[in-house]
Amino acid sequence: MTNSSKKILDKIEKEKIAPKPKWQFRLEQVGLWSLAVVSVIIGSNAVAAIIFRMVNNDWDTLKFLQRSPIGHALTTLPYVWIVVLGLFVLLAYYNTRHTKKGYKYNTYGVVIGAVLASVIVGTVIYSVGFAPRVDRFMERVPGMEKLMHSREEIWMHPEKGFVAGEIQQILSGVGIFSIEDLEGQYWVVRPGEDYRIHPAVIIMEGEYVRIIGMPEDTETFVADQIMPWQFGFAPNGAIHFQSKPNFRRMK
Amino acid sequence: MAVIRDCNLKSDEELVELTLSDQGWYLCLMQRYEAKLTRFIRRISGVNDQDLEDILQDVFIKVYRNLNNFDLDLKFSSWIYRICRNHVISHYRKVQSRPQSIGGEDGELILHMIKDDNDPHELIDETLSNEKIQKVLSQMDKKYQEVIVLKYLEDKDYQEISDILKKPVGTIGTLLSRAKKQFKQVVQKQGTEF
Repeated sequence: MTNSSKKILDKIEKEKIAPKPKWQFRLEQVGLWSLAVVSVIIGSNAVAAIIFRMVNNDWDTLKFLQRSPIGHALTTLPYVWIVVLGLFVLLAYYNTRHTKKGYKYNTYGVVIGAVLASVIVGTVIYSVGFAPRVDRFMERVPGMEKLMHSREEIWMHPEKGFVAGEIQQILSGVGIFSIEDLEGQYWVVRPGEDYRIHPAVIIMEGEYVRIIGMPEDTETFVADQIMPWQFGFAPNGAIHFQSKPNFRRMK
Repeated sequence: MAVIRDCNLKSDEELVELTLSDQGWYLCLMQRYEAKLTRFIRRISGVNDQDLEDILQDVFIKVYRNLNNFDLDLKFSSWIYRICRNHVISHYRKVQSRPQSIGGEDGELILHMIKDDNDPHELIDETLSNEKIQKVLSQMDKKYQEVIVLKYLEDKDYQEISDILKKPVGTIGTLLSRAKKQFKQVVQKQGTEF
């Protein structure tokens, strides 16, 4: 027995040093993996919100808005959600990397894996209609609302022919109904000569619609195009879950 | 009555299991690794004997405390080298100084090994003295220095180096290749000064 080894063994005995229990190490590993999974779940919610915002981004009205697709995309990209996705993918990578065998995994593999998992789970979250709630949750985080693009603003200009709101009442006559717009003003909407209605629109009380047309007077709006406020996940635009426009922001 | 423990027939992994139920077996592991770790610490840090003894003691106690975290998928030697290397790094962070250069005879060994790995047309001048090699190594990045120590002096394979440094095997290949390149560059750069 060397002097050094004996000293160490004596110290272990004297100070009653004992190996840490297994459960402590297991708990640490479980914690790291759990954080990685939670990060992917939050990233998935970010993906769901990105899909939701990109689908419901008024692409169908660009020619009326006189905007180029690229300019419109750059203005309306959900940057906050993209940053959230990036942060949580990095966090998932960091936690995975610090697990026991994390160093063996390829960096790009882990990052791409986290992004792919987020996209797959995020698509599922979007398809079950949870994305609008996620998006609204972020808008309620103090300070975030100002950073997020407000789609509603486009539809607050009846004088320019753009109005959106909730259908209040179906009135007599074909396609005549009343709405309360995003600023709380009531309009009677009647079809114009080139009246077109999107197949996904359901004219019934409580539905939210976007209308392109022109005001006839201070109470009547002549509609040329009526489109749903939101599109659903299905290819035909069927709506699984419709969220209210952000009235709180507008009033 | 003193317990007689026959260490020689036991593998490292068996000794870990035995130590967990009877700490006396830990002596076998310490005896097996004391000289190796002493050499390794000296190679990557160049500490004096007093510091070296303290570091070694801390390493063995840390290993003992963490025995339940030893992963049987690893070689025990890789695991204990990893703990040792990390402890040396944190020791230097505490005292805020940089590990010193690699010792004399080791320098000659490294030169010999690197030359064996290389294209014959790119051989490094055989007349480089140990002193000059030490100078070259001391000017290399720490990450390259330690990968050269592990590969050429500790005789570890890529998988073991990967487990010790906690980096993917592919990264070890890249690090080693860059380390050799940097070694040659430093030799060429310093050529006129030698």
